[in-house]
Amino acid sequence: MSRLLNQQFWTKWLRVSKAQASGSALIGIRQVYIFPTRWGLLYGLLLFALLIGSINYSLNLGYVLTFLLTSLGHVAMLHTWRNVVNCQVDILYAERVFAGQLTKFALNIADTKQRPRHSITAYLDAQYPDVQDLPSSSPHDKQQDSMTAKPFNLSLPTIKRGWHTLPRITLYSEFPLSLFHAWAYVQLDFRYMVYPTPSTLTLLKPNAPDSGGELGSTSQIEGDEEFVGHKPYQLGDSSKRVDWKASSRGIGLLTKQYQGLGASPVWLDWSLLGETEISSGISIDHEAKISLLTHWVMDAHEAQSLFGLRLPNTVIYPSTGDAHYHACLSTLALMD
Amino acid sequence: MGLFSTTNKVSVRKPVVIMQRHHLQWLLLSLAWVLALHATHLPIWVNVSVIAAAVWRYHIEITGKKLPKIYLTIPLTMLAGLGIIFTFRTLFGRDASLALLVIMLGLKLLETRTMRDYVLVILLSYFLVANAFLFSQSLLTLAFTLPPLICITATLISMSHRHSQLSWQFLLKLSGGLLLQAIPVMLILFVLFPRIPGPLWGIPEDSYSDMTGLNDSLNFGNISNLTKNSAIAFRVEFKNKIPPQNQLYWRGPVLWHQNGSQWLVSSQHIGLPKEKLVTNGDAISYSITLEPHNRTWLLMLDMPSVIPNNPELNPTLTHDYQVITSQNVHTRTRYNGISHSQYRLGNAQLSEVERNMALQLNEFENPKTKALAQSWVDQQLTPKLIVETALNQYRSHPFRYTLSPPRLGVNSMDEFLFNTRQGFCEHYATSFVYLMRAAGVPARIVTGYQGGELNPNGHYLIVRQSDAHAWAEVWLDEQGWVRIDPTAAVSPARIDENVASALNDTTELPMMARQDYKLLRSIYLRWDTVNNGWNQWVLGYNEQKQFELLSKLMGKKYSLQYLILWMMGSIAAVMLVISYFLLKTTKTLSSPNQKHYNRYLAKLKKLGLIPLATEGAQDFANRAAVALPSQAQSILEIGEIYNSLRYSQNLSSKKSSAGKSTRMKQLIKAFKPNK
Repeated sequence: MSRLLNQQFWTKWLRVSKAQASGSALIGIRQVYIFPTRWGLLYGLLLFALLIGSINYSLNLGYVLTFLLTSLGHVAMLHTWRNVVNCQVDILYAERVFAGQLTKFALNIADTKQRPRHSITAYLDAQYPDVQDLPSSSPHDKQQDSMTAKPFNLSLPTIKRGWHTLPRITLYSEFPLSLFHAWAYVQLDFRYMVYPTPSTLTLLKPNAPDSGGELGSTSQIEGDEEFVGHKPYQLGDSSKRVDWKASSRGIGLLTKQYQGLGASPVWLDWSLLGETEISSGISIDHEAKISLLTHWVMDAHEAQSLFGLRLPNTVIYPSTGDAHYHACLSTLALMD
Repeated sequence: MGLFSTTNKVSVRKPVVIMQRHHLQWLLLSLAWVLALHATHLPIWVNVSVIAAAVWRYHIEITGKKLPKIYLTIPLTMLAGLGIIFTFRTLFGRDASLALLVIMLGLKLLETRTMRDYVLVILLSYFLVANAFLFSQSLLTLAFTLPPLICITATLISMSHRHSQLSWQFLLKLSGGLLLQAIPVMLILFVLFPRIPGPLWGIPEDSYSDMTGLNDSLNFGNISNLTKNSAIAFRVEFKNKIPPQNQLYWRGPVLWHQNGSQWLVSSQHIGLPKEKLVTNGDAISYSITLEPHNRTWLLMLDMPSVIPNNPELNPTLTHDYQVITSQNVHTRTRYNGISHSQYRLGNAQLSEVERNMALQLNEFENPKTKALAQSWVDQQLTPKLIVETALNQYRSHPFRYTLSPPRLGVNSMDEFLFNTRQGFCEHYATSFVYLMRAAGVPARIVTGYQGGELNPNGHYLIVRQSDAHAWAEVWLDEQGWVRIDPTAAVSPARIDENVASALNDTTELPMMARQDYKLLRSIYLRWDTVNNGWNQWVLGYNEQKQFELLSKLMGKKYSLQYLILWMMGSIAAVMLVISYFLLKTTKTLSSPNQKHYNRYLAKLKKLGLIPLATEGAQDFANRAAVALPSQAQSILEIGEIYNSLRYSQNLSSKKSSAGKSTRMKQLIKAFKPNK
């Protein structure tokens, strides 16, 4: 009994469109489920009432209308099913977010059978669906004019840091008459990264052994910064640091140099978190430490400081720039 | 998966969906059609209120105001209910419940906001369309239900496409398309769905109130009013030759009891012995399709010798040869009859009861008429001579056959026979029978129809309400009950031809009973042929016809299980055919260029080079060029030409594109893929 109640037990038996070698998944004819909507059930009630009325009053045209509407329901069922079947789904990109935020995915859902699709809804989490019309795959289709292919934007709440497999995508449509709900499950072979939740604690960073001066919280860093001169632009330097005014004189790109940067990188060190624990008098567990480091990485990146990350098994040497920033966050996200 | 399994649920509590203005516009348009379909069946105030509600609702939509609160809608609903009760004296019955449904739908508009409300209104609209058939099932009514159906369905489509607005052309096209695709299965269901004989419960009394026909009593004005109605009473197909016009007396209620100016059927329930019928000459067999008249009698040609054998009608013959069914005729009914035009009706002797009934007259009325009749008795005339004398009375005096006779007072017979002398068949028949009874000759009035119009297109006879007639039967000892038509004495043309030729002024007659408008009549007759077929094959298709048809089709094996199997099987087959056409990938009209390019793609396919869905011609060419370096040059050129031909049609001149086209053709012809 408990086995039957377990959702995963049922999930095994669901027909799911799986990604092919090309990375996209095609919804096949055996992978579409269909069921009447509550409006469909109400419509059924109407048909029953019409039938009873036609019998009672021996109304032959009443029969004609009853049967016409019955048949219309059948036809609508076919159309709803056909609206979903043979759609191709692939993922374009995922946005990297911190745990607790909504990840945004862009999906490309396209027709493959040279007919436009209407009101296709897709969702990863039913709370964040996206509805679009899909233009026909045939470039000669006349109904094309008003339709343009746009990516589907789906969101998903995140809880845990690290790599995650993209969950099953649900695709459905109730077009044209809202009497039937046709849906399909799509499983793409895709992983997305969730960074750790940045800590909300405002704790002082401990002094790293080889850091020159005392660097405190974000506001202090900004306050202490002193412009010391220019250096030639190097790949990886933040574009915010480029002194455009100076560079316009025709002596090449120049990057502004600040005191305390370059000369003395900030080391964000896992092993020194114990000190912070002592100085603040708050006990910090494993996850909270990761959160705290994440928070500091964000601060350091925002302040455009030169910073490095020292973790139990990994060391990332001081650097600046977006690539470095994401590398640090990914490393933190993947910590045991 | 584990963490996210909660998101896999399909049934999520859906948020309330608020519909937009274009949905409301469609909904109101659909309701306008539905209202137009029923406007004539509804009291004016209901029509006006529903329009007012719709205007109000739309005004709210435009101005962005709030919908009326419940303390406004509930009193309005109650007021509407009271209005219906006040108008119809009931909430039930066909007319009252229709009006109630329509007005409630109108008021529902005032709180229609969400998808749920809209769907309810849509489903009720479908229901109201079906209601139209309670009033008429003609071809025209069916045609009038099409625009509302298309419109309602279009509204439902627009409601299923909530994220953006679809064009009205698209909506109408899709809606019409869906309904067209629904027709095949509808036809199968119509023919094969097992018919259950109704009614399942009582039918409201007023459902048949607008059916016209003869009454079981005769007042002055009854028949002349009926004569102004061109509605069809019944249609007759004769197996052989159609008898002459003056033999076409269609026998209906026989009236015995005189009460002032009113004559009533009164003897039906008295157990009188059946009169004996001796027939002579050839039998006339025919089948009648009777329009429903909400009465029990089946009209038969004088004199019916065999009663119809329809078990569902359960017809019986009264002692005076009316054919009566056990229930009022509510549906169009077809029955076969056999009659003889030469006959003797009546037993050897008139029984005492019958004689008394056939001589019954109110006392102290019409002294002059009674005196006239008494004078014939005093002359000791035989009954036969009395009949002759009475008929001569009509011939020798200036009697006029007219549809609009003057009103008559208490002594109506006296006034008619001696003063006004203007009357319709009912006047002649009643005054004649009155004279007979006053002179001691047993007599009764027979009402029915006389004549009919031949429809040359379908070779059948149309008998209309305007052919309604009344005549007399008198008892003569040697001959039994003899039909005497005093109208014929005054106006032979009425009997030999038709009402129109008997009247000087025909403007009061319905157009179809008149002689002018030749072209219109011929069009009308053609139209009636279509209607007759419609009645016979569509409206007359009942459990009996279904049984006959299917027994013929399936042979002896016919049974309910068989029928249902057939129905399911053919529906499945039709749905398969429809699915095939729906799923078939429409081959895009390929230009010659496209054809060549497809040939080229087929050549590459053999080597496993297939363009991906996301790949343009140029990208594919680049990939193919890498895979087949020996032919890279022509591959790239073909790709380039194809791209330029396909995407820059407007830019390049015709001449240069023709040149490119031939170049591509040559390249593709020469192209031999090998690794």
